[in-house]
Amino acid sequence: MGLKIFRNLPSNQGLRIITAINSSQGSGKINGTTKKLGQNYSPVPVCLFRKDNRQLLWETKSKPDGSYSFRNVAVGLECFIVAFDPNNQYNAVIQDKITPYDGRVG
Amino acid sequence: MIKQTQTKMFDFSDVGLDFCAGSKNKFPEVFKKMLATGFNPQTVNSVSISGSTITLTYGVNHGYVADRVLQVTATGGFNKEVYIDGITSNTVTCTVLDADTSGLTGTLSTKVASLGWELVYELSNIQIFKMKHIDDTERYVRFCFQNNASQHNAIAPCIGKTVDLQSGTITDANATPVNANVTTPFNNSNLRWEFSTYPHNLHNNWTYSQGVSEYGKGVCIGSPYHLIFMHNNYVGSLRSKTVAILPTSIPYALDTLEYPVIFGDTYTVSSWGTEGSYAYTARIGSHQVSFSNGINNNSGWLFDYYQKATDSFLPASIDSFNTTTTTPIFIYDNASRQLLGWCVGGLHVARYADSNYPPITSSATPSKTVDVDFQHDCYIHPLKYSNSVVDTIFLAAVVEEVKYGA
Repeated sequence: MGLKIFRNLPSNQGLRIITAINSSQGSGKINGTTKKLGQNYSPVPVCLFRKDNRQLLWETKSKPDGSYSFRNVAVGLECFIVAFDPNNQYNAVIQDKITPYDGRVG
Repeated sequence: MIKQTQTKMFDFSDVGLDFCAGSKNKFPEVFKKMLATGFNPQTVNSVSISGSTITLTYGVNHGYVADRVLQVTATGGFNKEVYIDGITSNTVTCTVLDADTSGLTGTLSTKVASLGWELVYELSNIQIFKMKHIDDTERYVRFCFQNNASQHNAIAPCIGKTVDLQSGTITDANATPVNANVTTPFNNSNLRWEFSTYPHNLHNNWTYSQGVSEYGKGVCIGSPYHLIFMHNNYVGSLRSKTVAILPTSIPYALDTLEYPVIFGDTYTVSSWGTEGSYAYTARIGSHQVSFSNGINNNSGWLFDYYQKATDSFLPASIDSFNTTTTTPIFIYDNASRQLLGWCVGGLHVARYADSNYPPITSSATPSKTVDVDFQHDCYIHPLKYSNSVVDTIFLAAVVEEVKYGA
């Protein structure tokens, strides 16, 4: 009896799927970069809030290159972001009126 | 996202289908449309081309849907499946995946592309299609639709390697047992695909909108290599059904195992008026297999309903944002529970716990999400062994290419 091997798909190593459990969540994404005096800066705590009711949705930290990304946000939900200086040298900064893009096409 | 045209998704509400799980009189026709012929043909008024992107303009509201696959033919010679990126009421913007738009001239016509199966026999309530095994050899799939107008909407499916096109029967001795030549679906323990539990004729011609309050949502996902139905057979919570034909990777070169795996309902109902229990069975050819490793010693279980995650999300130290993982479906010999292989793709088990799980009511399931890494659309649907979420797993049908280079 011989053996037959078919090429395995990446998904057979297990997928990661987004679970949206409330109306604030979905396939939307928000990306950005944290900077200090014009230079990429990390790790910076970054918090994402709904604009309409100021509810905290997600918190993350920027990567060594300063980039950060939020996913599982409802597409089109108006948000704002607050980032904090981990060294407490500067006040927190805010970016207002951010709208997540559809992560499926970006 | 990875755009592909091999695997397609159809919604029961699609223009040109418009059926529900109970509309048994419509089933032979919608099966033919989804699997072989395509549907919703339209004539294009004009086309504009920008690289691999084409925009088709119609004189009417076309009824097509974004993220689906359109078959485009032109008298100039173009004849391809294209990916629908976006729509307006009278335009469709598509990607030609190989970027070759030559021949896209003259009179253009479009329709929703089928799975690419070939209808080889059709008489009364019997249809036989040709589909592909994962090694690209042909397999025949016979569907015996419900012909008793006052009974459950059920189908007796059968997969085999050989067929008699005079009698409309599967002639392969190793085909799915019993169903090779049946003339009406059984209501006993033989494998069937059940769509509706209502034993009457009141829903036989229902449209999607007529049936949505009873049956909720329904989708069909497939390719030349597989076919998945996710639907609800009754109104309410945990009335969900998933039945499927899935591509397999079985390393043993045995003729008797060179089939896709098929699974569906197997419970006996004392009369067609009762729902019965929730037993399922799976076959590779005539060989009974299971997706359960048998650790709970429940011989009647198709899946390991108790082997669930303890949390529906990865810990934040690994991945944030409510991320859930999936596992492939492993295939075990039913008698010994020794591993035979696995389902190549198309359907996975989503690792949900007993809280923070996706919707379970017929009005909201199957629910749609997306995978993080490839951005494939995923449809999540519960599969129960009792009326408790504790005895329920969640399946994820992924609109993904199941065979590379096909």
